[in-house]
Amino acid sequence: MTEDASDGTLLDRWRAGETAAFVVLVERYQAPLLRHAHSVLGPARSGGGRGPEDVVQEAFLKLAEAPPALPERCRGDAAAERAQLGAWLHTVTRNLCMDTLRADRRRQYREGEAAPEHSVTDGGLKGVEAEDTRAAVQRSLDKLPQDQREVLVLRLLGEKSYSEIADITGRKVGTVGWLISVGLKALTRELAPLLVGAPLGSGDGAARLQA
Amino acid sequence: MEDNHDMQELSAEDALHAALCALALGELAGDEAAALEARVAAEPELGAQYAEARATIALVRTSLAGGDALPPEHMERLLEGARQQAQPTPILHLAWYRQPAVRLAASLVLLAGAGFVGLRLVDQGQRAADDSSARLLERSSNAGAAVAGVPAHEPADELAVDPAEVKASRAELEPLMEAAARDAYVRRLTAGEIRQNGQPKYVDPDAETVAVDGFVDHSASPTSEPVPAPDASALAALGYASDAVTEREQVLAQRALGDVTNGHEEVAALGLNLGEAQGESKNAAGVPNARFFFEAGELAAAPKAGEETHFAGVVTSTGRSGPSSPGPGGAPARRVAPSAPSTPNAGSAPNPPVPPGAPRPAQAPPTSTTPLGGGGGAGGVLAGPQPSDSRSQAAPEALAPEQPLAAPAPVREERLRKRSAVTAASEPRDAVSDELALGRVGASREAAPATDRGRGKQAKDEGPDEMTRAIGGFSPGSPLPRLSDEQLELMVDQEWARFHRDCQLRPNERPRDMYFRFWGDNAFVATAQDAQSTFGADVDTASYALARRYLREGQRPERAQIRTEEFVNAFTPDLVPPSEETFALSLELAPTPFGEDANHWLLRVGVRGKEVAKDQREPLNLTFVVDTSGSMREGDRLELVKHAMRLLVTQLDARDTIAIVAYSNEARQVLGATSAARRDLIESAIQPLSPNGSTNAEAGLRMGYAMAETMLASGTYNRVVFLSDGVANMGQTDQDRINGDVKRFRDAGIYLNTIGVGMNNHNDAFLEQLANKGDGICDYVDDAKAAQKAIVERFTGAFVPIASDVKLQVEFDPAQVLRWRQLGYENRAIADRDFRNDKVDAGEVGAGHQVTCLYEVELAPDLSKQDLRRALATLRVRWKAPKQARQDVNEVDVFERETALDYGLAAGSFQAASLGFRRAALAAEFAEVLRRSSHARFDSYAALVSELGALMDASSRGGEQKVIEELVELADLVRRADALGFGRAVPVTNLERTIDEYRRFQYLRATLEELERDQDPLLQQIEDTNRTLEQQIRDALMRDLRERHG
Repeated sequence: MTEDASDGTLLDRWRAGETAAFVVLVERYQAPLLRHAHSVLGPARSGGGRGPEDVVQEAFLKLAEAPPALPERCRGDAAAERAQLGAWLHTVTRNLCMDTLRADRRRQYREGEAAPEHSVTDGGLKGVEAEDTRAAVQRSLDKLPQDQREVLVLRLLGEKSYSEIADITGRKVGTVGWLISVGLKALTRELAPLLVGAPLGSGDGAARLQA
Repeated sequence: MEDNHDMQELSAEDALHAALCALALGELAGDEAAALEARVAAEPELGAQYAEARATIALVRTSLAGGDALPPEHMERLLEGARQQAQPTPILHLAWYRQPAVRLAASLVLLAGAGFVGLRLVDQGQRAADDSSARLLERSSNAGAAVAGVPAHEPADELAVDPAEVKASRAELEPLMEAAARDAYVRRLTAGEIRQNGQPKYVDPDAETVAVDGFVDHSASPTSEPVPAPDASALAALGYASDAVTEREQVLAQRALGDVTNGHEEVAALGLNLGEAQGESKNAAGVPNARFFFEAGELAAAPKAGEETHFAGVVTSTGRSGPSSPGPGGAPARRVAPSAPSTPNAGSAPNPPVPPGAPRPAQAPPTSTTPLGGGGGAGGVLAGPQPSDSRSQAAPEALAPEQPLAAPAPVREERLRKRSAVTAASEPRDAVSDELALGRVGASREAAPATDRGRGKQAKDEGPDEMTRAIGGFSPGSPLPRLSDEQLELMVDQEWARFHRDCQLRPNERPRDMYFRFWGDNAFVATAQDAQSTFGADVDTASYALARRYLREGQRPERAQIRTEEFVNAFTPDLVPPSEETFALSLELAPTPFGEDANHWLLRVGVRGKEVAKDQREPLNLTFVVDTSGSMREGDRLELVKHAMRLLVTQLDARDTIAIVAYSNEARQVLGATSAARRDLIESAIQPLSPNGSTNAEAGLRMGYAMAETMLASGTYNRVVFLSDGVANMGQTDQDRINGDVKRFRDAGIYLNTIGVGMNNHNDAFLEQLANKGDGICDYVDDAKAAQKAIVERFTGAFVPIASDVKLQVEFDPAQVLRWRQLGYENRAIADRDFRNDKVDAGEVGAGHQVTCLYEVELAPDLSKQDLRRALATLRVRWKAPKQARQDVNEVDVFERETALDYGLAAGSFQAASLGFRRAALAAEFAEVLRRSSHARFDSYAALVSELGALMDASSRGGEQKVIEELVELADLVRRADALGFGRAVPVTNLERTIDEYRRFQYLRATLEELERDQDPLLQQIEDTNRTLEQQIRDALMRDLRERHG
């Protein structure tokens, strides 16, 4: 089935002109790429510029125009193909995001505006309804500095390994680990109310968690 | 920035937390992980941290799971961009077309190529006991040469001075190239067929070029010649008989030839040498003109080589003869069309195209030389035996000169001259043949159809219908050279001998086959001789849909398109479907209003398949094979195909899988196996399809089957759905091989359905045959409404099989039924003895389908009471469970049921019969009228109209809305058919009637002999009559000739 075909197969079919194969690739990668772009570009981008959707769309267009040739060694190995193509797409997306950010910065500089600081709220998450968990988690993520957010998103949602993330972001593996550690700590603090339903800080909260 | 941090710089605490995170995320392994896990277990504080980290990770993952998707407008833009990327091939493909230089070169190459390929292929096909290889070489070497010192590159100059050509738009050039490719292909096919089994099986898909048989009414065709003498057209109308193109006819023809292993042997045996095909083209009176000279009929019996009889006919190549809308290749064809009127001057043409013939001894075997005149609006003159079958005939020679024909022409002329010179030198020229040929030049009209009929057929079949055409060929009223009585008598002798021979029963031919050969209809069969009728089920309805389209557009459908069984089956089933069994069987008998006398009754055989609820059907694996060739651009055919596919997808769900292959020059996969629930993916594959290039149907089918094979899964029904306008013009499309492939895959569990779009005389047969071989349905769709009906309303019928290899056998009681004839199903006949031979395959029946077949029976006039207790007719149905994927052929269950009908159960009158019976009878009668069936030629129309009125009255009382609508539609078609002249009896001249009568007597005599009534006084009577008729025919011929030549 087209939906189950490996990335390499789909790329080949796309090269042969099968639009559906391309669509499957888009579907397969759009979510992680959007998250990635979102994590890099930051939340609620105001003042024009391109949003994550635009960036991801452009990344896919690049894929359509010049599909990357996957290394011969991962031919037929779906996981390896996936890793290869994923890395390529994430890298392209990230570069596009960086271009966007640079353009934004230039524009903002020209407009004499300071880059908007992420407004850090008090983190009071009491009373957050269960259905708002998603929004709360997203908000907490958004509050993180961009570099932490990006690696966390890539690791937690994109399921990239540290080394893959290092490749995509151009950092050392150790740095990735450190960014994740810091980011996760901040997230834990931020999301404590959601984790245990009570303020964090005591061992019994952790104990309850363990139970 | 923080990017510069490194592990080493971290505090111990930070490092520990980072390690914890790594552990929680599964980044640590081996000893490191084990050690840390031990610490976590041992130190509560660390354990809490670890748990927190894990909880956070889990929370993020679960709450943000699912993920985003691109907003629709982004997706849309993205797909748009992708589609543009997806079309690189066609764009490139177009690009080189557009360059004027390429166009010029293409024209040259094309013309030269078409010419030589044609010659070569014809030669290949007819390399019978003949040094044609040598000739081929000679010809090839002549290829670059020139006529009478004209430089070889003369054609280029000619082209160059024709700026209009250079400026020809791509739109003009493209169909031209396609047509040329098709023609070359068709020619090769025809030739190939000769080589292989002595008869062509390919059905020329090109409506425009092959249009004519006797069925085309020139009066209804605005573009046809105004001249045809009435007797010519009427003759043609008689001659149509053998135009029916069915497999069976071909089988019969083959049988008639004694199943010769090799076509040319047969040809040689008949004393014919068709090895030479000479063509000439010139620009006469500024009109593009092309003539082809066929030298045929070298007498094998000729005592000396020097006395070879050459006979040249002239064929004016034209494109269209009918009024049908321009099809692919129509444009170039039309350009050539004006050549016809200019033909008469050929007598004074600069290059006398006539190789002189030696005097032909009257007692010699008749040559194949026969001018062709019939063909209604577009007869022509063609030396050489005429194939009787327009529909199965590819377009061999005459199609070549689509265009200026500059390149090949000089070469051909030279060949002719050489030939003429040689013969002139070596033997005295025969004025008769020579002048006759010239005369035929004068007599030629639009002749494309004549040539279209294919040399393959010529080689095998000099049927009697050619005779009628031949006679018609003398008819056109242009002045002909005067001939002496002696010469005329010689001609009459020749024609008569030919005609007479073709009226004889051929070896291994049964009288009923002979009947079919003469008139194209099933004959009445004496029950005493053969009490059983066996045939395969057929549930196609394409013929009716196509005829409807023709009639609505004010055109006369071609005879060969009218398949009676498909008319009958086109209506909503009336029999009650069985609740448990697979089939419900029904027999119904009532007097017929269309019979000769009161003893003629109609028997309806009905078999209704069980219904299958949509949610109970098995999963379907469908592979669409979509024609995206340039011809699909016309009339938005491709859009209609897309519409049909979209409709089809709406009938599918997540159980089903589809894949899509598109083909033009090449085949390409546009959608791999995909769940039918993925409408978006499917749409993304369908939407960008655009028409372009030529038609490599074989590549498309091959890839389609390859994909279907990958989807084969047990418990599913696998089907390839072929959507096309049926014009196959490129690739290795040897019909036999395609059919063989289709059969092989069917045995592997892959069915084939065909959906035809667009209007084209000959697509129909190609698609029908494919579907036949693939045990599938052939549908014809001409608009969105028809698509709705074919695909949505008949979905389960067309796509959910309930039985395969469904065979029906009807056995009549000889004591009660004197004679019977089957209406339709001519190409579905199965040998009686093969009814229980499960290796012999037959048609497939889908859920809810009804198979209806009618018999006209002549009951014994004195049916007594005691007969009532015996079954008058018995119906047996035998079928197999439908084929599924990966199923052993031997494990398929076989079923058989039977039912019988007593005379006592018959309806007292036609009006007393069931509505379904009456409707079927009227549909069949309508088909017979449209077919100009020999059984319904003169008087049935009035009865049809009045019975239809009565049926509509009866149905309007409580009938189903749908049924009433169908009847209203039928009535409308009947009315339109009347307006087109079907309501009137076929005009018949004395000559035609005499010929017809002669045939009837020959048939009668053959029948008597079959019945071994050799001593019957009737035989003597027939002999006497025949002698009288012979004299009449000879006289008529002579009169006819004298009118023209004296």
